[in-house]
Formats: sequence, C-alpha cells, structure tokens
Amino acid sequence: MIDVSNILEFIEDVKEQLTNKLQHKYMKNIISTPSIDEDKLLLLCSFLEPFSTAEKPLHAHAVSVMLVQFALDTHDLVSTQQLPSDTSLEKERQLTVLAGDYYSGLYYFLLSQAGDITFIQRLATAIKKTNISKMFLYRNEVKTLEEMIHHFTLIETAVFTALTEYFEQPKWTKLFLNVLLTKRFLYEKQCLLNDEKTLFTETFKRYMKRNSINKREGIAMLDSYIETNRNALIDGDEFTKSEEMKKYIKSLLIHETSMGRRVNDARI
Amino acid sequence: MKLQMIYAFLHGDISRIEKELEEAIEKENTSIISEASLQLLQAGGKRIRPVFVLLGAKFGDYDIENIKNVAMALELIHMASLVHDDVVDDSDVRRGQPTIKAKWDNRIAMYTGDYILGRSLELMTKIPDVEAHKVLSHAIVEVCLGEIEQIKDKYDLQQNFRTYFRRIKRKTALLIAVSCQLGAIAAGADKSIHERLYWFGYYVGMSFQITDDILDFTSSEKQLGKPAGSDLLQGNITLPTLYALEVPGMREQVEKLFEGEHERISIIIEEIKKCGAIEKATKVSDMYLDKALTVLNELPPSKAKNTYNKLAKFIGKRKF
Repeated sequence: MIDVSNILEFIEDVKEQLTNKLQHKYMKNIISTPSIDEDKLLLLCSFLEPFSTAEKPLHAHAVSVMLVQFALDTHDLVSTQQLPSDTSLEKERQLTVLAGDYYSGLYYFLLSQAGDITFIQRLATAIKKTNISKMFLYRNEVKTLEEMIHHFTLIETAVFTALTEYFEQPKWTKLFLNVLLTKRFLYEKQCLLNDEKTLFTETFKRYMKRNSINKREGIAMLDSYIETNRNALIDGDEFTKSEEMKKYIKSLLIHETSMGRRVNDARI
Repeated sequence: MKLQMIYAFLHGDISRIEKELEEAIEKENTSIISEASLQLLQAGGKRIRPVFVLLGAKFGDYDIENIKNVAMALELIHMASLVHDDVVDDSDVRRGQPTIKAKWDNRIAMYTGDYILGRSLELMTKIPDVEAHKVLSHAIVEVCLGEIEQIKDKYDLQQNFRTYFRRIKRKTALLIAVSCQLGAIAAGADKSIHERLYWFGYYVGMSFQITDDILDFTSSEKQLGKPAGSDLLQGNITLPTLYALEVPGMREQVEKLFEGEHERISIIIEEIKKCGAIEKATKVSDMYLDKALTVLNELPPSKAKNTYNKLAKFIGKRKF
C-alpha cells in the first residue's frame, strides 16, 4: 500500500540531504547550483520509500541517483568556445567541469558509506552508457530517427532505470520511462519552437534537414512521440491503471506537488 | 637508472594491465569515445599508480586476476581527471600529443572523461570489500575539492603554507596514498600494513608534488615541455614562491606579475633561486621523503618493500 505521508516525509529528508550536498561555499558564488527537478524527485522517492526500512534506509540511494543526474547534466553546460584566460567566464567553465566531477565523487562516496557496491556498479554503467549515447548524438553518428530516439531515451532515463532494474521492478521501469520521456519531449518541443539549442534539438534539426522535413512536420513527429508516451501512461497496463496507483496520483494532486501540476499540464 | 628498471620484476603484470586497459575501453563501443580514450592511453605515462597498487598487493595474497581491477581502476580515474583537467587548464598538448579537447572540443572531452570514470568504477566494483570503496571514494571527493581550491587560491597572495599543503595533499598525495593502500586492502593485508602503506604513499606524494613545484622554477623549457615559471604565470602559488614572498620587495614583484607584467617572470625566477627558497622547499620535500622511508621501515622485509624504497627515492630526488 502506498502511503503518501511517508513518501512526503521521505522526499523532505532526501531534499534536505541533497541541498546540503550541493551547497559548496565557493562554487555557489560562481556557478548556479543545480535546481532539483521536483517531478523526478517525487517519482524517485515514491518508488524507493516502500523499500526503505529503519535498518536499511534508502535515502543515500535517492540522493545518489539525483547526484549522478546532476553530474551528467552539469557537464552538458561546459561551453566549447574559446574564452580569454583569467576571466569570470573562464572561471565559470572551470568550476562547471569540477562541479560535475564533484557530484560524481559524492555519489560514489555516499553509496560506499551505505555499503551498496552493486548499486555503485549499476550507476557506473548508467554513466558510461549515457556518455556513449551523448557522443553518438553530439557527433551526429545517428542515421535513423529510431536510433536518435534510442540514444535520447537512454540519456534521459538510464540513471533512473538503473535503480528500478536493480530492484527488479519492470513496471516501475516502464512508468519512469513514460513519465521522463513525456516530460522531456514536451520540453524539447518547446525548445524547438523557440529555436533554443539543446543536444536533442540540434540532432533533430540535422535529421530534419537531411530528410527534408520542415519545422511543422518535425513538431508533429514530436507530438506523436509525446502522445505515445502519454497514452502508455493513461492506458498502459494494469499497474498504472490500478486503483492503488490512481489513488496515489490523486493524493499527489491534493498535495499540489509539481508532479500534480505537470500531470495536469500533460493532460494525462 | 630508468624508472621502469626499478620495478622490472612487475613487467609481465604491468604489460597485462596495459593490454586489458585497452580492451576495457575498446570492448563495447566503436564510437569516437573509444578513439579519444585510446589516444590518451597509448600516449603512455609512467603508470605509477598501477605499480603502487601491485606493490601494495604484494603485502597480502597477491592475485593478479583480482588486483588488476584496482590497478586499472586507479589508472582510469587518473586518466579521466587528466581529460577534464585539460578543459580546466585550457591545455592543447599532453605528453606531446594534442589533448582531447584540442583535437575535438570541450564537450567531447567531458563525455570521454565521464565515460572513463564510469568504466573505472565498474572495474573497481569487482572488489567486494566495502572498506576499499570507502577509501577510494573519499579520495576522489577530496581530489575534486583540491582542484576547486586550486581555482579559488589562484592569484591569492594572502594564502599561507597550510593552504598550500592541504591543496597538494588533495591534488596529488591522496591518490598515491590510496593506490598503495588499496593494493594491500584488495589483497587482504592486515589493517596495520595497509594503513602504513597509506602514510608511505601520502608522504611520497607530498614529496613528489613539492619536487614538481621546485622543478617548475629550476628546469629548462625543454625539460619541462612548458616555459619555466608557468605555475606562477598561471597564478598558482607554490612552496618556493611562498618562501620567496617572505623576502622584502618580492610580494610587490609578484603582484605586478599578476597584474599582467609577464616579462617580470625571469627576474622573479632568478630571485627565487637566489633567496634560498629552492633550498628551503627542497628541505621540506626531503623531510617528507624521510618520513615515507621511516614508515616503510616499519613494514616486514620483502622485494616489494625494497622497490617502494627505490621508487620513493627516485620520485623525490628526480631532476626533471
């Protein structure tokens, strides 16, 4: 049985620990501290809380997953242009590199303290796979739309599905995948509409150009992916349609969490 | 004597580690990540960390099948940090070859470094001892903090000797210390042994970095592969400079250098050499080396112990 009050307490603890880890006195003056994605945190904690016990608390696991994601996302922000040396911009870039490394180090440290070597390995594999996929997209080494979506899906979900697979919960893996991809595609669609550069939009634009697809058609393709993931959430399987899950989502809406708002936004 | 001659009896195991390192990277991907990682691997390097790991393991039940994972993980962690350091330092050349960030770009360097880190931790998790992971993860976090501090302390003439020692401990000494210790832990050596090996590696690492900082002033551009005084020109205040700053008038000279009067560097180098700062820094390096050898003396006699002894002296007394 999913107990919302326990989950909310778990979230608060994880959030507090995470915020403490991210507060580096010097770094926070130069670069922005990563903002915590409330949706991801909610999903993560909802999944982990039932497995957590007084003897074996799993807060370190939740914090570690978020830290690895921060590490990977932070390194996407490292600029590529030539900068004059000893400027604030150069210092910002230097600290962006080191911040990502620091978050990776913290994940390893936390899980070592928790004594969970297997999960250290699972996250290490997720780090490795994510970067291989990023490289494929960044270097434009993908030929088909399917390949592109495959790498994009991996980048977006590898860290989280490492967790659900570790706990052998395939239904949750699917749920994570659908939620994370729906959210991400909605974001990327907005970026594409606003001509904002992201790893995905740049790759997708190259794909559209190669295949003579105009922007309107490109947006329609993204809409179709959003719809597919959204439908999988609505009509997916017995798990997402179960009374328990419905009740849980309803409780979340009552608590007016950001997940609730996003769920409404996405018309799920 | 050449460095490799000192540990010649490990040649077979080191060659095997070299080969398996390549396989570890090549095995699962064909993308540019493999090319970039292999370029760095094949450029060579002293492989001093794997050597320290293997020697540490000789104090326990030496099984290369097991210990190779630690040795490879440590070398890969070192490599990952080099790839990212080149972005931090905006370096275009390493070991005589273009850096990954120069050959491709910063983003490729970030992805390659992160990939290598992931691969190294995968290898390390083949070691089931939680203590080993606590030791290594603590060191990794400290190394990152050391690098962040280095950025913070740049051009800061108010920093003191304590700041410098803490920085080089994190930047260099810790990874050498844990290389020695982890070899012993993974081979099941007693706590009293692996803790001593940690301190041995720590003192050697401190001596190594101080010697490195001295050589930046005393070696030629040809020997260093970069202009003499590069550390100071980049705002890094090392032990010889800290001693020299005690000499009246020196602080003003360095301040002007930091304000952009780069031509002053040759005068400052000469002043640092003349004022006794090099001798004082050398004395500190020697003190750390002595401490390393004292700790080593407390360990049972063995071929590994003799090799550690020779390596420590070689590293601490090297001329370039």
